[in-house]
Amino acid sequence: MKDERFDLEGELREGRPRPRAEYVTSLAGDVRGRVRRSRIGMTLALCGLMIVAVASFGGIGYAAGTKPAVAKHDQSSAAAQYGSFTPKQTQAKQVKAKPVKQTHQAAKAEAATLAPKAAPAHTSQLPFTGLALWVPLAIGLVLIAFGVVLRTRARRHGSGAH
Amino acid sequence: MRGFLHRDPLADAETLIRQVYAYAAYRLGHGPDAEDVTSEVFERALRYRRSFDRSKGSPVAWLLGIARRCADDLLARPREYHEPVETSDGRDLEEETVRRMMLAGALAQLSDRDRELIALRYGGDLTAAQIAELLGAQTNAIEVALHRALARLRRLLESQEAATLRPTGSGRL
Repeated sequence: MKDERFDLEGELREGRPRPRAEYVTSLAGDVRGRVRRSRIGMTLALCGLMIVAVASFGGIGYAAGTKPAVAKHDQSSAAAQYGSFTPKQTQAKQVKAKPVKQTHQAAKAEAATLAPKAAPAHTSQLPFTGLALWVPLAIGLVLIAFGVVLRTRARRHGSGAH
Repeated sequence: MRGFLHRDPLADAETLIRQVYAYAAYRLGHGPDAEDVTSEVFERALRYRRSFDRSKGSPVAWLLGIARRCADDLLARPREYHEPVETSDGRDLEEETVRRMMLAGALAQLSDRDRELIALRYGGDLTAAQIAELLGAQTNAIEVALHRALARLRRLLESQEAATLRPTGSGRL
């Protein structure tokens, strides 16, 4: 077992004890399962935290309070933008019951009442909050950029360790 | 920021299990004891993985730091004898078994310190610098200690080989 006949270091590396395959599979599965469970737990905890934060500033109450007001109008987004529209056939059927003039006037009046409500759709403001549209857009872009930078740096750290 | 950069140290579980097992087997012998230590290491690692800091070392160095303590704990307890587990990867089984037994016998005769160094270097596949960091020593000192440990192991293997050859030779004469 002289140096030239026997590569001891090579033997120690190549012949290193190997665990049983089923043992490796079982332990690795257990490790992965527990890591996954803890990640799900962490996600749920974060979601809970966000809900608590929103609730503490009255966000849930605000959302609940505004819902009936929205529902009360009972309009589609198209109706909000263009006003109510009655097809000609229906108008023709209604001729007997109501004069055309009246129906037209009613539709005009309804459109007039809806016009101010439809206006925000054309502006760059968000409903309820009145925030300018670019604010959340900018925040979103900054967050995405932040995530990309973090991911890239984490990958670089990871590859540097091996 | 560092918290965000934290990556799961147990992401590559299979490779890490093999490295930790090889370390444990070099220190304690191939079999149930090494498996027990490996399982214990991963149990502790799962419990304390939030404390893992990549800037202080690689995941395998961190796991082997835990494995050292687990192996020390096991060695401090009275142990039962276990038959070594045989796993072959296709090489000649008889030759491999003989070689492994000789190597295991020689390793068992080494001091704890030498066995630990060999286990970390060739079982855990750590570099001398990583071992130095783990043991709190100078890299040069570790390289010298490893060199000496290998020399002692080589001498032990030679004496074992001589001892196995001697009776056969005398029988022929």
